[in-house]
Amino acid sequence: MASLYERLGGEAAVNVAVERFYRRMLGDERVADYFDGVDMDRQMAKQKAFLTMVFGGPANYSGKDMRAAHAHLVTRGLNDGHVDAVIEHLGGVLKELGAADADIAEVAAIANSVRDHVLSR
Amino acid sequence: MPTIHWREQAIEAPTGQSALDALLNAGVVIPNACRAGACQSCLVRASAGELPPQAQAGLRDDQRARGEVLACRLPVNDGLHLEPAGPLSIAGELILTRRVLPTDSVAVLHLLPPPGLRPLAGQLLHLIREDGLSRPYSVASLPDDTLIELHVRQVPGGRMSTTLCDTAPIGARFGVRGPFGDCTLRDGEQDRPLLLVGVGTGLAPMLGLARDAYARGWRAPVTLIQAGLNEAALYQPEALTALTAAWPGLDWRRVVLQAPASDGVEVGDVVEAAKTSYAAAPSARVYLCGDAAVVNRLRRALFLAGASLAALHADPFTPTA
Ligand SMILES: Cc1cc2nc3c(=O)[nH]c(=O)nc-3n(C[C@H](O)[C@H](O)[C@H](O)COP(=O)(O)OP(=O)(O)OC[C@H]3O[C@@H](n4cnc5c(N)ncnc54)[C@H](O)[C@@H]3O)c2cc1C
Ligand code: HEM
Ligand code: FES
Repeated sequence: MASLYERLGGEAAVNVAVERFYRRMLGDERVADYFDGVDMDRQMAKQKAFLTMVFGGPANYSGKDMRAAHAHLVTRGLNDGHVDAVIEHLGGVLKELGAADADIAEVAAIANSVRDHVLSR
Repeated sequence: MPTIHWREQAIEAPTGQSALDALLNAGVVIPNACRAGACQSCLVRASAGELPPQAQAGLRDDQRARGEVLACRLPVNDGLHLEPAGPLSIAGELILTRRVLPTDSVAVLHLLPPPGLRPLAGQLLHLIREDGLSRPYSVASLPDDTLIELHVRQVPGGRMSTTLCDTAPIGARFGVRGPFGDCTLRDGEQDRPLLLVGVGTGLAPMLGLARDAYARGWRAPVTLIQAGLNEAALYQPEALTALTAAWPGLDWRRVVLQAPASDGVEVGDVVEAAKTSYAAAPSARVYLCGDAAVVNRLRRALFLAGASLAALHADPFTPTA
């Protein structure tokens, strides 16, 4: 059976999803501040890394990496509510792109599995 | 274990490793950010070796042809020879033939190109001074024009801009590298609207694109927004006067931040002006150029308004450090 990443459409799907996801994040005042960098290209690259990871694609992140990537955000107050918002937008984008409910749930589960690392717990 | 080369240096790396990791492990300094092929920070050039398509995804055709490649997406393979990417070759010399000063702080330059250098409107040329100082400027002319037109703002204390705007005599020669950049019109898109926003001397490439669109007989609406701090900053090069006279259908907007302004000049934030023009033609391809802070604000606002990054071209004039 195809992997989750392949079922969702692989790299092509990531490329389509990444703009929509980023637009949602920038447009949501709960989380937008954390993405407030002028360098949109770099931010897009991070969004792509994020999506590749939660789609279960080829990226080798460890919990240590996730801690390091978000540690400076935790000092700025990153909490469970923000992770919930991210997962909500992720689900929204996947639904728009026609993903199956079971796959959406699996993506959410992957995102949830690194919650403690992201929040430095 | 495959062996790759960085310039003359041989580096052994395990099969499956990316060239980026192999180079970093060997102590070579390569900028990198996403490690996912998206940010193009890790661009290098391969003079030999196998380049799988994913390692060149997102690059322009001319970059691919030169062997430029994203090291983070490139698996090591025997025989791979890598070197820094970028403008190594010098295209020849430009000769300054004419300088017009439409305002105190802007110079419109015309330069005679060396044979074979025919940059597209909107592309960049790196001008090189005698002492080696090099700076990018955007092209306002068309490839068939005899002279290349550049607009240069004199930055206070700026080395190259003072030379170009003030001290270089007519007849002065400058080295040139390029052309670079894909802030250019796409072939076969005459039925797609264009939104061109030039802030300060960011007008130069936008004027070039508007002239190019006119020459190609563009059928869809074209909007050219010229923005400046105040009305005195809205310089008007001869080519713009000629274009607006020849092309009454061009939607030419002038926007200044500070009042007062005469009739036909709007007072307000260029970001709001661009958003209204975008809302009227959301299928437009969008080009933004000029002051880096304003261009980045424009880019973000238009992206949030629905423009895809693939149809949103920005050349911020990132200042030198
Ligand atoms: C992609 C790109 C395209 C460009 N196209 C054009 C163009 O078409 N027309 C044009 O006039 N310029 C353009 N520029 C800017 C140009 O390349 C130079 O940066 C500018 O002319 C200043 O160079 P300088 O040697 O005179 O200043 P420097 O001697 O390098 O700098 C002097 C001082 O001024 C500051 N400074 C440098 N640049 C700026 C700036 N843009 N704004 C404010 N402060 C600055 C520096 O930090 C420094 O403190 C472009 C830049 C980029 C990256
Ligand atoms: C839901 C679980 C999350 C996962 C799996 C995740 C994953 C990632 C990944 C893979 C990166 C790239 C790291 C790198 O290569 O540098 C990243 C960076 C980033 N993430 Fe997350 N993330 C999560 C939650 C969040 C939340 C809730 C926020 C803020 C609201 C956030 C904001 C950021 C920012 C701003 C960056 C860029 C960091 C920088 O370089 O400055 N992330 N994330
Ligand atoms: S590190 Fe971003 S493209 Fe290679």
